[in-house]
Amino acid sequence: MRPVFLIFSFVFLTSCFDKGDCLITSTNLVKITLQKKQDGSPKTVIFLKVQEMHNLDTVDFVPDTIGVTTLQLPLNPNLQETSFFFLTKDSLPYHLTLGYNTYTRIISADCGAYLYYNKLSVKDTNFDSTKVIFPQLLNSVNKNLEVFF
Amino acid sequence: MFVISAAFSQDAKVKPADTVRSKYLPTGLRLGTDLITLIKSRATQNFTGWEANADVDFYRYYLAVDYGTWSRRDSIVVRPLPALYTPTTKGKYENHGHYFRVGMDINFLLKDPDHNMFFIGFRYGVSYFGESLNYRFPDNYYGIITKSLTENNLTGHWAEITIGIRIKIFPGFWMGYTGRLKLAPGVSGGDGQLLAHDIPGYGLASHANYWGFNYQLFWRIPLRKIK
Repeated sequence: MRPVFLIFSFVFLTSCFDKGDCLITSTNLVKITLQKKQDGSPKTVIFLKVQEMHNLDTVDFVPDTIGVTTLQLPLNPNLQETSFFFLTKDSLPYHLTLGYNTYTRIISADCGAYLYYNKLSVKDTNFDSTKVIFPQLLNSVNKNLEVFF
Repeated sequence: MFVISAAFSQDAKVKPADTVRSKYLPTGLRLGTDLITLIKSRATQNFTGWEANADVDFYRYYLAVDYGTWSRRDSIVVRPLPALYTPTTKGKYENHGHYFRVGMDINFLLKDPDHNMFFIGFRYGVSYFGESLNYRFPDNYYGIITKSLTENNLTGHWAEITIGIRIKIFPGFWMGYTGRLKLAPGVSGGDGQLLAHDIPGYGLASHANYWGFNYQLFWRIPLRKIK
């Protein structure tokens, strides 16, 4: 029995206890592409304002001098929906209310706890149409939502 | 005449039914505990637990049952998003629960008079537990974000392949290792606000397989003598 005992001692006492990889994929930025309602091609828009509707004192999410075809807007981590107000250079007002679920995942004690967002949906908007492309917010995802107007 | 004689000869070699049956009757009940869990519980601030083990022999097959409790308290790093590399804050994680495993070991040292064992076996584990996480972090747009998450009535389950030894160290006492390759964890229950992190009896839920290790001390109660 002694050799067996020694072999097991060696195998189990030399096993590695490696730490997990710290791969962070979560984000609270919803990635939106702006598209023409006629043909779906990218639409370049200059916004005078892009703000969260219940917090209009905050800074604009987008500089008002640059034409953009995409937006990255932060969802409110404390709520299950966030509403945005948009004012274009043509003085056209738009609004968009996004619903979502959040959950927390602990990757490891050292790597951290992260808030993830999924089940993205459009609750209310006056854009001509919208389409959810990918309902989970991840760093690796290029587009969550298409907006046509 | 030869045929009849051969037939009687064959009958004489067949063991009586009661002998075969008695081979599978248990000869002893072994009760034990995991010393690593006890030492870890005493030596560390963030873990409390114990584990009891029992097995009973049916010839070379041992029915094995484990039961334990497990609670963990950890300080968890929290990084504000989306700025991943900004200064971090700390969150507080806790879990508590109990678990059991049921399975069978096959002993390969069948003739050992001291009931020493070299075995390979399997287990099915079930854990009933709850978890909580409290944390806060600053957000560039929305101020201080506070999350207080609690998940109760969670059930975890997993499978194990076991390998190990038991060696008699004193009359009535055995000591040994059990190595466990834990596989296929699953968790059900809860409202999904906090993904299961640490399953009592298994370990980190995010690991699809996991090595576990017990260093156990057993006391054996003889039930009958082997003829």
